[in-house]
Amino acid sequence: MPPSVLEETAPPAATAPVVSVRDLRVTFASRDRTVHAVNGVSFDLAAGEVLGILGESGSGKSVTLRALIGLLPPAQARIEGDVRIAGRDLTRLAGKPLADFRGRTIAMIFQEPMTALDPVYTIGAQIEETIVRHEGVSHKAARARALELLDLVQIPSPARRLAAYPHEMSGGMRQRAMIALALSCRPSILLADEPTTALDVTVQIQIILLLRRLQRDLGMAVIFVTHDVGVSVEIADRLAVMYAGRFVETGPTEAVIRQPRHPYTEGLLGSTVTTARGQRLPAIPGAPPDLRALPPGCAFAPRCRYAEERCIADVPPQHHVAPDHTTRCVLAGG
Amino acid sequence: MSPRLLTVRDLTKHFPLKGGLLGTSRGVVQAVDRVSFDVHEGETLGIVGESGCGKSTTARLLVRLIEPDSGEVTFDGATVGRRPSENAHTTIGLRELRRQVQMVFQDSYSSLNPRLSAAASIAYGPFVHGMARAAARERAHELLQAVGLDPGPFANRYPHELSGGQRQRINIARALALEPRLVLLDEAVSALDKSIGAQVLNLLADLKERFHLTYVFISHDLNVVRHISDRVMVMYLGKVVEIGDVETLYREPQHPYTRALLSAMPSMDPSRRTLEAPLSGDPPNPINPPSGCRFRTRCPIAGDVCAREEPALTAFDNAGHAVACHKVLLPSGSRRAA
Repeated sequence: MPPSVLEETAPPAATAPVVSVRDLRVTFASRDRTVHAVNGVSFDLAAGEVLGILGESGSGKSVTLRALIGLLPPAQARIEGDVRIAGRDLTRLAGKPLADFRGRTIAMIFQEPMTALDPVYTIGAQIEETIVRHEGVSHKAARARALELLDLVQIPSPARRLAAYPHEMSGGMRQRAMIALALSCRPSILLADEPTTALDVTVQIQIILLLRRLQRDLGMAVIFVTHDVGVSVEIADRLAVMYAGRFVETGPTEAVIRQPRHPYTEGLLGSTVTTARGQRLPAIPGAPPDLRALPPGCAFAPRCRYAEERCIADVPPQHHVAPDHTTRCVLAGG
Repeated sequence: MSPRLLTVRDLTKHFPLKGGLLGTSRGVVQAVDRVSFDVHEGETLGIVGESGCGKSTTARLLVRLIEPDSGEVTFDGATVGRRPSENAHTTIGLRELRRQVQMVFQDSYSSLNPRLSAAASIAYGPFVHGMARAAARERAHELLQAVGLDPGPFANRYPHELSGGQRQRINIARALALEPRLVLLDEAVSALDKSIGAQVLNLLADLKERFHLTYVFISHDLNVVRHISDRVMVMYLGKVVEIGDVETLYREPQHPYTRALLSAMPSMDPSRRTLEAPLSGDPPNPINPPSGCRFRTRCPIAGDVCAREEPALTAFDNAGHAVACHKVLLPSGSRRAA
């Protein structure tokens, strides 16, 4: 393990971070197996900052996000570490205080609006209910806000759409409605779990641009989880590349994309086809590790072409290749 | 140019929408509407478009997983089906067609029989087509090797014991078991993670060379299509809007929809993020497509003629680049049907 978790994070910002995570670990235990989904994630998110978490299936990116908002099933998931959202320890919240916290301080949007929205209530009723529950205002006032919100997310003829059911809307419109619902109580932190993945490319870019504008106008901090390098480049100020439940590289988007300092990031960028036609893709050999039995050292070592003896011994600590750019690779440490 | 392996003319499939108490028709989904194109021997034709554009239906029509309403498909000079056409004097039956044209689907799990081991799945086709059991099994082992899976551990594994990438390799091996000449790849790497998808793309390139295959590669991923294709066909709401050589089409797209589609791709350059969405709204419903040009309701340059007349796919140059747009200038400098 690295000597001190606190030492290896970026120097404290001028203002306190809105999200502060230290050594987050999530395991899912059942009778015959234990899956190590998140294995020591630490980061700070400043107010108004957009962090992109980039990773493939099973890297732990969605589990990390769900841990931040208390959505993991308590019976199966064991959460360790320190999660502070707006100064409060979220892991100790439950019941009504947790419900009060969600929506007002932190909200989440999902990949599938059809399953995130309630199919038997109109869009207007769902937004209204949320506002009344959290702010105790009248239904009339809440309805007026709902109309403003649909306008804010650029849904055409918003007054008519308030009375629409989710199934009556197209995929892009449903995604906008879900964003409106998430923003209904003006959260300062928005978690986004692949919200553009299920959309067509011409609709995807509309939603990305909308989220970028809302983030800027409302000054929200955003954590955006995606498997798509292009999408993360479009939205994130800072990137965290995740592999086998760890942040293997973090840094400003531009630095990570232009000068990746972890072999996995390098491989992921190579696998994202931008090379000339007819050439072979520099694919990463092998497959991600079994999260039930992680290797003791670097989880990427079995697929890494630079791997050495010392990679297999211990999990590499985080090295700073620049003040704000880190990598968990022994090669960067010399 | 190499000879035509597959010729498709005016292929059409409309799905009636049943509804109401008495099962009366509520409309028609014009999934594929008078689509024509050729596939040349040894090339990879990419088909791109958004959901509902008819790209997967087109693939299914080619191997007759769906019966077309009208139109003609010719494979290597022989008309598919019973009735020979005027220019093709021979016909090819479904059994023979499916020996020569195979398909790989997006969902690697649902396209494998869960009760058959990897080797049994691959050997099934050759066995049904008359190969002795032992020979078919041997062929399965060779193909496992060819797709990069060691027959030792993998021959007796069942689909649920394999990863997504491994399952897709089995699907590819099975598609090759009957020594087809044409393979239709319908979003074959779309469900895989990028690092695994890249391995499968490399494998497909190797297999194409080794077995002299022709590919039709259907995908919504424009980067992947650019990487693998020689020519690309762009579809919108059941119509072909543009077709041409891959580099010409990506560098100088002519149809306003192709332009929009390409500029909607996320930027890979953090200093050049996309500033404006090229199109607003979602693709319209294919149940009642707009009159005339189906793209006109979202098109920035649409005019009166676009609502009145349907634009025909017309040659744009002599190199096989064709566009279906009233507003696109022909190289001669004249505007078509202004």
